[in-house]
Amino acid sequence: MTIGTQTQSLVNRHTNNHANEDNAIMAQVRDGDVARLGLLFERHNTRLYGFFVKHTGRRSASEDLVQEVFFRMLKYRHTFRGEAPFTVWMYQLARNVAADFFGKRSREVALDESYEEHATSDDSPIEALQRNQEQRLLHEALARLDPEKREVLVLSRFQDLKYEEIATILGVQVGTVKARVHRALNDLREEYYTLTKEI
Amino acid sequence: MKAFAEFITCDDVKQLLPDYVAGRLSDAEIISIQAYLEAHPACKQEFEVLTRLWSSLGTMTEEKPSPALRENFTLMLAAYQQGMNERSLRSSWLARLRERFNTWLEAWIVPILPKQPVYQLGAALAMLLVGAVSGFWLRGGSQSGSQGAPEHVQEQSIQLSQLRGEVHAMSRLLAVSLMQQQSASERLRGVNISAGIEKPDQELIEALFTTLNTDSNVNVRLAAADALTNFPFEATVRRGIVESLAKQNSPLVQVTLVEVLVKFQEKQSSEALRQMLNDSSLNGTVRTKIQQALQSL
Repeated sequence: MTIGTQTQSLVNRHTNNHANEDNAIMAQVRDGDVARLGLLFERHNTRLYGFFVKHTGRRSASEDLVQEVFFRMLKYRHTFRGEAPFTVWMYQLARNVAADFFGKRSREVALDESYEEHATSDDSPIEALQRNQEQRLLHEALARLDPEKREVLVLSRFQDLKYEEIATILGVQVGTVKARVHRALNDLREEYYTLTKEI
Repeated sequence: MKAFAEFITCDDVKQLLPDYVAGRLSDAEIISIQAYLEAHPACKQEFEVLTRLWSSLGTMTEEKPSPALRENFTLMLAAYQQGMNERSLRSSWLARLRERFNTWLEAWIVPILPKQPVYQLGAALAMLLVGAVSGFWLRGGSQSGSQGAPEHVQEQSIQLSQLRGEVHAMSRLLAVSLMQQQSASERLRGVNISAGIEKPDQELIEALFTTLNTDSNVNVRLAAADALTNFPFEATVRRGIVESLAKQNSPLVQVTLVEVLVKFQEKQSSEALRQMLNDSSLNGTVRTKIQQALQSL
C-alpha cells in the first residue's frame, strides 16, 4: 500500500464517520427534532451553494435554491430512509430543485453577474491575471455544457462524492456515471479550446 | 479492475482519469495505465491534456454564500417549528375533546342501549316512530296555530326570516372572501358557494365578474361563468357577460359565455358577437358557436 492510498483510506474513514453522523442527525430531524437541521445546514450549505453556483451559473439565485433544498428536507423529512448517505439524499433533492429552476427559466444558462475572481495574495500580478482568465474561461465553458453533462461533472469534481454515490443520486449504474463524466470532460475541453481561440 | 491487456480503447483509459488523479487506483492499475499510455503516444497526449483540465477545475475557487443565507435559513426553521407546535397543540385539543365525548358516550348512552341485535333494531324503529310522530304533531300544531295567527308565532316567523337573511349575508361574504384566496381550489369553492345563493348582492356579482375576467385558472373562470347563469334576471349580469366576452382569450370560456347569452336570449349581444366574428384570429369552434348563436337570437 502506498502512502497515497493510505491517506486516501484515512480520508475515507473520516468521511464515513461524518456520513454516519449526518444520517443519525437527519433521522432525529425526521422523528420530530427539526431544530437539529441547523447542524446539517452548517455542515453542508457551502458545498451545496458551490454545486448550485457551478450548475446554474447564478450566484444570487443559488442562495434561494440552497434554502429551497433545506425547506424540502423539512417538508419531505418522512421520506428519509437513511439507507444511503445523507448527502446522496441531499443531492437528489438538489437535483429536483435545479430541474425546477431550469424548467422555470429558459434552458440556456448564462452568468448573470460578471465573473470576478479574487487573486490569492502570493500570486504575482501576471500570475493573478492568468489565473483570473483561466477561471473565467472554465466558468464560461461549464456554462456552455448541456445541463446533464455539467451536473455530472460538478458532482464528480467538486462535491467529494464517490462514483457509487453519484450513481445512486442519478439512478444509474456506476459504469454509466464513469462514461458520462468522461464524455462531459471531453465536451468541456472542446468548449474550453473554442473559448481560448475566441480571445 | 481490468488488466492491461483488457484495455481496448483509449476511452477506457481516459474513463479512469478522475480516479487516477485522485489517487484512488491501486499500484497495479497505475502501472497498467502508464504502460498503455507509453505504447499509445496519441492517447498519452490526450490523457495529459484532460488531466491538466481536470486539475485546473480543481483550482476553481470555492464559492461562499453571503450571511443572508444563514439568516434566512434560521428564520425558515423557526417558522416551521412554530407551525409544527401549533399543529400539535390543535391536534391534542381535538384528541382531548374526542376522548371526553367517548367517556360520556360510554357512561351515559352505552348502558341504556340493548345488547341483542333484535332489540337494537326494535329500539331504532321505536326512536324513528317517536321522531316521525312528534314531527307530525309539531307541524300540525304550528299550522293550526297560524290560522289564528297569535302574536308570538308572527314574532317567531319574523325572527326566522331575519335569521335567514343573516345566513344569506354570511354565505355571500364567505363566497366573496374565498374568491380572493391564493389557492385555485379555494376560489373554486367560493364560486360554487355563490352559485347556490338565491339573492346575490352587487358585491357578489362584482366578485364573480372579477374572477371571470381576471382569474389565472381557466377552471375557476369557467365555474364563475356557470355561476352567473343562475342570475338571469339581473341586468348587470347580462351586460357584464357581453363585456367579458371580449376580454376572454380561452376558447373554452368564450364558448361557455356564448352559450350563456343564448340561454338568456340576450338580444343586445348580437352586435358584440358580430364584431367578434371580424377578428381573424378567432378560434374556429368559437366562430361556429357564435354563428349558431346569432341565428337563434
